Parts: sequence; C-alpha cells; structure tokens
Amino acid sequence: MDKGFIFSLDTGIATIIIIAMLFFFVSATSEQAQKKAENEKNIALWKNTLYFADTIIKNRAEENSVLGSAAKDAEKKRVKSNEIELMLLKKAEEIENTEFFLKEITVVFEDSEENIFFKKKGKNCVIVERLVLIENKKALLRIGGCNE
Amino acid sequence: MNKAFVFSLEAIFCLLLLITLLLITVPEEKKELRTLLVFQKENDLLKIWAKQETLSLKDMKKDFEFAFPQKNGKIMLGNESIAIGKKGSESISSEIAVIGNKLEATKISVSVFG
Repeated sequence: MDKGFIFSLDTGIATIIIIAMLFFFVSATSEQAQKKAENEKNIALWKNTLYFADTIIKNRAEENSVLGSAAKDAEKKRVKSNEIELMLLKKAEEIENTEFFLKEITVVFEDSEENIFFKKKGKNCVIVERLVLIENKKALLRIGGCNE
Repeated sequence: MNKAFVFSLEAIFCLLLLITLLLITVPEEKKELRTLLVFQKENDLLKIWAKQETLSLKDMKKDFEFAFPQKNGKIMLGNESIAIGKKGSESISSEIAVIGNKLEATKISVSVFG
C-alpha cells in the first residue's frame, strides 16, 4: 500500500499563507499595472494641455491660429512671447486626434471673460491657465483639453 | 491544561514574509503636472513684469492674486518683499534679473506656497 501525505497544522497554515501571499502578489501587481496605465494616460493629457497652452502663447501661426496666437513685433521681426493677438486667437478652430481634443479656449480679464470656443462633450478633462498680455491688459488664457 | 500551537521554522518564515508583504507601501505616483503649471505661471508673471517700465510691489501683489487666486506666496523686488497670505513650508519659486536702462540689475522673485 502506498504511503499518503500527512499535513500537520503548521504545514497547513504555511501552505495557506503561501497561497495567500501569491494571491496578494498577483492582485497587487495587476492593480499596480492598472494604476500605472491610468496615471500615464492622465500625465499624457496634462502634458498635451500644458504644451498646447505653451504653443499658443509662444508661437504665431496665422494659417492655423490654434497652434500659435502670439503677437508680432514688426520692427524686430519676431513674436512677442506671452502677448496674444486676440483677433488671431478668435480664428482658432477645434483640434482633435485619437488621444486628445480641445474642449475650451477662454480669455479671462480682470473684469470680464470672453469665450473663444467651448465644446460640451468631454469626460476626462484638464484645464490649465496661463497669464498673458492682450492689448496691454493682463488676462488669463484658459485652455481645456480632454482625452475622453 | 490546554495545548499550545507549535509553529515550525518554515511556518514562522511564512508568517514573517506575509507580514512584510502586507507592510509594503507603494509610493503614490504623480497623476498631475500641477507643479509644472505653477512654475509656468510664475514665469509668465516674471516675463510680464520684466516688460513693464515701472514696478510696484502693490501692483505686483494684485497681479499675483489674479494669476493665483486663493494661493499664498511671496514677491521680492530688489531688497523689498511682500507676502501674500500665510507662509507655507513648501514653495515653488522663480527668479529673474531685469537689466534697466542704466544697466542696473534688479532681481525679481516670486514664490507660491503649497
């Protein structure tokens, strides 16, 4: 007759603990991976929105003002960083790709605000504000970007 | 008299490992780039102040409050400074040196407390 295994109480407990450890390990690893993917997505959205705002205030693209609406210094033949030409910014059009779309562009003055455009849709969004000069008046340029 | 449990060495190791595993805390990863945004806004303020011909701490305070509503901070203009709200333990600071018409340098710094 073959001999069977005999488990003592402590060996049983040790086996249960090892199984529990493995379970915790797998569950924690999968949770971490999920969190990391979500964080990366959020960081990408922040980066896109921040870089987008930076592009608007530092560049000038007359054919597509959403990629740059900085005022131009005709004498020095260069763009004036942090100075926005409102008429140019008003021509801004929507921009959208699979990972990012523009939800809002608003100019907030100390006493009023002007919405350039606003889209209702957007679940996961980030709003950033930059301080700019518009016709020698200080204003906050609010840019909203979404990825869902 | 009741019998006590007897743990073997490997069971004790397993228990210790389990406790260690449960005590491990994974540091929270940053989900936002708010620090970079504050830094960029501080630089915006400094650039705009650098373009102005005259500067006063009173006006600078007003600009700070417009750019950073409900935030505490500190502005330095040369040797003078002004505080906005309460002083915090952590801050994000930026500094610029503005060269005037007589080639004199004036340091302007702005700090936002966390």
